[in-house]
Amino acid sequence: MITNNLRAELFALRRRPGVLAMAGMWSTQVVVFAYLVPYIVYLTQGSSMAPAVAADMISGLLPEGAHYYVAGALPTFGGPVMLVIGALLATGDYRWGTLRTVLGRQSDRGAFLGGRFLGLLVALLPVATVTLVLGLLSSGVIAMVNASPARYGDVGVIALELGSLWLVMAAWGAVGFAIGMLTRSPVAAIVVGLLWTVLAENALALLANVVPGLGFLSTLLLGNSSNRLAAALGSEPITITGAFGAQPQGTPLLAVAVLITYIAAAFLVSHTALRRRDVT
Amino acid sequence: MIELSGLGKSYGDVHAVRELNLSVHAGEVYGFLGRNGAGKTTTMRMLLGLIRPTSGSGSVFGKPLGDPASVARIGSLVESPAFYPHLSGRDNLRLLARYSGLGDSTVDSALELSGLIDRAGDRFTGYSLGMKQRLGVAAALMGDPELLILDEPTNGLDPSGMREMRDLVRNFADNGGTVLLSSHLLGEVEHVADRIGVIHSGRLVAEGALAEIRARVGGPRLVVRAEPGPAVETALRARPGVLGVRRTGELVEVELGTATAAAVNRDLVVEGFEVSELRIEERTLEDVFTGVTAA
Repeated sequence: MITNNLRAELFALRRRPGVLAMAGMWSTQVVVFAYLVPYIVYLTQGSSMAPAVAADMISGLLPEGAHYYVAGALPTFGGPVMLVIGALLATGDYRWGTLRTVLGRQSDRGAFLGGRFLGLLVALLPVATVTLVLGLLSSGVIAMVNASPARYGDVGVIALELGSLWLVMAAWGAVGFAIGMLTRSPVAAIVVGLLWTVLAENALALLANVVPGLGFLSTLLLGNSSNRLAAALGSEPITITGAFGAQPQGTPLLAVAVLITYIAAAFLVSHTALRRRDVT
Repeated sequence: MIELSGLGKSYGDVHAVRELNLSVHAGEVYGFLGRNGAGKTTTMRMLLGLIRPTSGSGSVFGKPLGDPASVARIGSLVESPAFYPHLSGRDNLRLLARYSGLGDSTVDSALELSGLIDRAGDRFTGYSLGMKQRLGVAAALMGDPELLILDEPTNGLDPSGMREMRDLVRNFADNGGTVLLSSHLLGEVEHVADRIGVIHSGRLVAEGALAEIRARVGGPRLVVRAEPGPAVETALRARPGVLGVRRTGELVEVELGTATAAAVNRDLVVEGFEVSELRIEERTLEDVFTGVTAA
């Protein structure tokens, strides 16, 4: 049953304009904000920077540092986009009233939710791949324009980065999905999700940094774990406030465990919400 | 095929369905009648497992309500048809076919049967109400279901579409299928249903073959057009063998007891009334419905 549902979800996902638009927006963000803008800054301001700073900047934009900006920007800028994608996927049927059409044909809610959730996770794999490929291509173009050597990392490093990107995207998407299932409204899900991840998590992280004994709290946060994984890839996380994430807490392994836990918890919450609910 | 025993659904103090006992047998068309808000749609949703009963129990194909194995054998159209607006009619059905584990080959035959094949490539959002309804019916027919649950399926259809729908329901049952058909358009059910259940305020107030229910409300009535109307009414009220009289202008409706139409006609003529019209009128389902719900 879950196979049928997954087939249906992947069929539908390829035809969801909202989801495709969000994925496209993130891809554009990667090229523009992770490569184009920094390179313009380097071109225009590089000569006035300290030589070490300028060298750091350009090395992060070249193929060997392709993960630098992509991975670093993902938690702060890509995460919310993935959260929106998850929320859109969870709430579409409530918005269109199609849940009764689907569940009126096959009433196995566990299989339905499993298929949709898996569909989200599977769909984020090409998004992560496109993100990484765009990073590699953009860095290659910069290397060419800058007349620098284009040295790409080996396949293992690239695969590790791809896996990390996907895991971070999946965790954020799953959280958006769960909030969407709880609220049944795309707007409410997006507002709640962004308020939590941008404001509440930063506030909690600040608290954890200040109050003795609460340090472990940081390691349990979605943003921290995403940043910790990005840092493990060698990137310096880019954050909005700079208050949180600049020094991510915990080990990379713990970050992976926390992100997987978020995904599992999101599924359980979504499943419980759907199983108990009347479909009208 | 469908057995409901004391089924109920409450939302706080509001009882949408109360102690509903209902049986639908294999191969029959069961007309489920009730005014808007009577509890028809809530009952159908419970049959499909979309909402859970708060009391009582039920089974479809011998399995609990909402059991995936039984729902897989049901084709349904409950309330207004809801589909993905950005997808074409065909893609909507292809999607539903995938959820049900059906092949794409079932899609075009369902579209053909519902008369939507020529517009199957258009987006759902551009469909008229009637086309949306046809798509809903096509979805219900996919995969050769054994039981059809159709909630007001003629909504939005033009007269020829309504006739097609009646034929489709009848043909489905004639080929061994079972249909639970709800409507508030009583004439629709009257033409196709083998048995009827009338639901009012969440309760089943009458159930049986159409003739049985008609008998509960009374036999045929005599419609008399004669002048002067008020005097005709008075004369008929005084006549033995007449159960009731109702007058609208020159038209008098007579509930016949032991009296016959011929005897009434003869007496009126003898008494000097000018009788210009005299006809027997069968009870319509509207009368039946009004009678049982008023009771």
